Amino acid sequence: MKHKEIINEIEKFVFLGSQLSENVIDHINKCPECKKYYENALKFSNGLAKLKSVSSKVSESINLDKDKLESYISERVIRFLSFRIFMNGFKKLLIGLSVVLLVFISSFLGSFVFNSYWSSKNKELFSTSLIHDNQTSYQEETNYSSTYEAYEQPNGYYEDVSYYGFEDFYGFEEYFGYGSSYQEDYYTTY
Amino acid sequence: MGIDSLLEKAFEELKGMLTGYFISNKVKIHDVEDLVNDTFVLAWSYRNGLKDESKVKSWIFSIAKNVLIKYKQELAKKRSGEITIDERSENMLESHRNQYEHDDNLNFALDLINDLPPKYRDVVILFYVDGKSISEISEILGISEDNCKVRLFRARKMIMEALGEENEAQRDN
Repeated sequence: MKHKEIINEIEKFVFLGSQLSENVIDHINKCPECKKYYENALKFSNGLAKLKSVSSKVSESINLDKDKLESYISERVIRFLSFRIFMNGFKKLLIGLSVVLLVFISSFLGSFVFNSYWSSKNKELFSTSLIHDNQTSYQEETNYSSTYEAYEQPNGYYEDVSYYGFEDFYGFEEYFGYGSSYQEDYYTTY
Repeated sequence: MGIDSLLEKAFEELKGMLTGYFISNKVKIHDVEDLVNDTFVLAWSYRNGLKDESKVKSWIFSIAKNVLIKYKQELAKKRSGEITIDERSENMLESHRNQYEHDDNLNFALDLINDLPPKYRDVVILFYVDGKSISEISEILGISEDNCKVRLFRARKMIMEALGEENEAQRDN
């Protein structure tokens, strides 16, 4: 017999429960490949039978009636509701904790920002007073105002020089031919 | 017949079928009762939503499928899938315990059935495990009888092919 015929017979044996003929059994005993196939099929068939028996036994243990279902449903509803109540309480607690945490963090940050602001202000005031002292001492030395000066140019004219406007003045450096010596000569030319 | 009595009748008829369906889908034995109960509780809770009373079995079966999907999703999160029995199920199944705990044949059959595509798997379980007739299966699955027969035929061929592959795999090892 061919392998295909044997497999068909095995299929009928597994799924339809038909008995194997003498010829098929002989072939299975002789052919190791078909023998292995048959062993697998037998294993599957036994597993299927076991599955049926397990299924029916478990099924027997399940007892369902309308009252039981109703009580089961109400039990589930109660469980669901208690879960919802718990979750609502938990949410409220969480929100309260978040608010407390937020207040704490904002007060901490606020004090930190406040302190850093005033410390920088103090530094600024301190440095400004230092500058003021320097300017005063310079003015005392030179007897000139530090904010508005007149500068004698090589062509004989006087150019107004703002103490805060050097950049504009630098644009004419090449034109007037001062070059980089301008900064050095600035105070000495007065 | 009122919807309540219709459902009660369907529950009694489908109880065994759903048990077989869940077990065949590798649901842990101690969870099967819960899943069957969940299916019926859901059906009972939403019974007013059933429009066509002639499709009550198909409707309950579709609920069972969804219950199974949810169960598998939860199981995947826990990362376990073997069909085993733990201490929780001992009281319920102690007398039958040795019959199927870590049963090689049972697990072999379950593996083969679960390797089938779902539409073929359902037919095989309903026909070979639950012993439903073609007409009953077509009613439960909401398909024609011819379609049911075709699916059953193809499923058988797939299982036979798998048996052959199993043979080759064993030979390779």
